[in-house]
Amino acid sequence: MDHIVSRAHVEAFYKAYAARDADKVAPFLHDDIEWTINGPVDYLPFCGTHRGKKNVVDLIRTRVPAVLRVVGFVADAMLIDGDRTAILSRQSSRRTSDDQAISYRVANFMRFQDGQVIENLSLIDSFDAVEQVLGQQLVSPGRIRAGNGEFVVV
Amino acid sequence: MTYAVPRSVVQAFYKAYAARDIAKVADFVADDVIWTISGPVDVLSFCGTCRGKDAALDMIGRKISDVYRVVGFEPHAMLVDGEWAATFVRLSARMNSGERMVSYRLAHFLRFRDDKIVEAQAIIDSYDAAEQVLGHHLGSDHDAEPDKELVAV
Repeated sequence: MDHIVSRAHVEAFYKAYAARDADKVAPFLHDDIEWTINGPVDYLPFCGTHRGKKNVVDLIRTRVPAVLRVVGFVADAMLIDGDRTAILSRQSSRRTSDDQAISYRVANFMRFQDGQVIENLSLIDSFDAVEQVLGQQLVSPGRIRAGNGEFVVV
Repeated sequence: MTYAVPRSVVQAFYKAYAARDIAKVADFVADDVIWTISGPVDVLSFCGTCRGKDAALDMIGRKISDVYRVVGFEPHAMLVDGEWAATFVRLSARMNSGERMVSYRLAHFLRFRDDKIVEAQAIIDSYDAAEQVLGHHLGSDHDAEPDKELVAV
């Protein structure tokens, strides 16, 4: 049987999520949720796959704020198709350690089951995000090299 | 009446795009398209914003091909809603400089008008993509000290 999630329901979830209100987000999360954020966990420790409602709530309440305090999360596009939603957002944050502004785009692809999110895949411009969190360039132009010892871009 | 892109149009576009059939892709691109791929242009030279059909097709047909040859483009999710389409894709490619393969995830958000793309936003797992294109870990390129403070756990 096909499940359909309403726009009003997705918008209510998004409002709670954009505010990073873990208590209000929790009722929208399925017990068996799988929440994946792409990116290098060595530098963005909230990345990776988080399984189960408790872990995802902890991610929103504790693990992301340990690195970033999200101050803005605005949707440029929100698509709803059957039991899935895809949202393109602009995230504005402050680095927790020193309040430095950090901004990047986030794509969320979510699947709902019985009105709750059971799967989320978040894609971010991870290179840009890491550079902003580290506060330094990952690769200086003079050091770009390919695996075979060739220069890829000059 | 509000325009809504037919799912069949989105599917036909992706069939052409996955095959890198530029002549067929061109049929789905508006003259005034703005096509943005988020990522480090110093490392992935096809990233950035292309304005206009010619620039977008040059990016798809030449700039990407200058770096690698796409051999796989598998949508794991495709959503169509009103004038928008969104896809979550696993891209596989073979580097031009040798036989090394690269594979990473990307998301497309496409806005259509009259069955043609007027706005494209691509978000790629750019850290992963950059490491694979460069062929080495980025961690060795810097001291991993964010303003003297370790973030890694």
